[in-house]
Amino acid sequence: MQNQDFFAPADLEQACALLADEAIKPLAIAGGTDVMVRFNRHRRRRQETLVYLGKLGLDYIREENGEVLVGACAPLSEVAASALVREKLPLLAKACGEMASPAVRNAGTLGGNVVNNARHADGVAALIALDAEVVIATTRGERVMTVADFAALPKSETLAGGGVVRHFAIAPLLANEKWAWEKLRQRKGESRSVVSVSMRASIDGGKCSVLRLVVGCMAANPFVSQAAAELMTGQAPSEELIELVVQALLTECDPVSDARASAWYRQKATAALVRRVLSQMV
Amino acid sequence: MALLEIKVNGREHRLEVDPAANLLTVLREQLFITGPKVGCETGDCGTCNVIIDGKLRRACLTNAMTVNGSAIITVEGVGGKGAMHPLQMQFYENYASQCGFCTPGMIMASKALLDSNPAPDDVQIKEALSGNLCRCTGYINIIKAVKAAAKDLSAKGGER
Repeated sequence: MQNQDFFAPADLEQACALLADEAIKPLAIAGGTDVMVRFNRHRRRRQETLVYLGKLGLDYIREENGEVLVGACAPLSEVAASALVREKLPLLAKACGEMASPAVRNAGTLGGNVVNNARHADGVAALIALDAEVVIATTRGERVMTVADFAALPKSETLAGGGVVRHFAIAPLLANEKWAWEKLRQRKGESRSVVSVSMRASIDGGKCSVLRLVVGCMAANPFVSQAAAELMTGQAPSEELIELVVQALLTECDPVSDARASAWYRQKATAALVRRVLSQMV
Repeated sequence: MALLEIKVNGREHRLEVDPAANLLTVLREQLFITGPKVGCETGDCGTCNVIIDGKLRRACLTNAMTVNGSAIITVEGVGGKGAMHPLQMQFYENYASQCGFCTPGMIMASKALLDSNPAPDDVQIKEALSGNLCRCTGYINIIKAVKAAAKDLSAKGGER
């Protein structure tokens, strides 16, 4: 029986065509951990047609042409437990393993985390720190962009015209690269981030040659600190330098106040986390 | 409406559901399986936990149609009539339940843990139960019960 308001397409082309068909008011669903919260809140009969992405085979995690590909429908728990991700991208494994709770991680997907792009979406912050690319299938072919650019687009535009996120493509950490993922939350389990700070940095001959320092949960999107990159590049990390970076970084961002933390608290917390993260370079 | 075929606690069901319905509503209001409780409906409390194809999941955050064809275990499928599962027995022995509202979810999260890790330490138990809220017990007796059940199960040779 073909259901009129629930589709579980088995191939990408069909999924894209359904999602591009505005007449049916399509709504993509994968793990359901975001969509169902909204549905549960509004008890009325929903008008949207659900397009389930779980039958598309997009839950792979594999290495291809020197990149790690994480399928959009890979559950967070599988990303966190994947031997490949733990070895090549431990930052991502740690970030995914600290989100929500075990039962939610078993359902929620990395693609869903990025597409939903809530302020506290740790997957977005981690992927931006890793300089990941997102590969999107559409009715007009494939599109590739950085996760940073994707996250900066208005939600209505990210997947306009029936786009489906296929996977994220990420360059594995090299031997000379350091990483860190630190997140502050109100309690260890089942708690959204107050602030997250993540880092991907290259160290050559005791000096920092590349630094990508990302602060999450401060504004609508995680931001890459330009000040940190400028101050650290070409320098040997030291306590004094890290202090300069902390002060410069705080002038770069305009933190929000919300139910989880005030802007004042977020600033204090960010300073502490940035110190902790950058000291791991030393 | 949409046609859903699922196996719950070993029994096949075929029924028409609202395509937007969550699994919890289908279990409770259409199949009258009321072990999984309605708590927060936002995924925070854990009292609706069920095991779907071997994985612990929130029934409230699971769209029923997305698990079409799956095998689901609720607390009713743990142990059997007149034969409590070691987890259920040890929750009883250790006073790991007061009002009891969180207990079905606690049992399911503990079962999912012991299915994959027969001898968990305290930290692993706390992590496994980190998505389950309990208003009454203070959690200590729950952790004791899970540890005791793990011992019982390994003494029985891992039979679950």
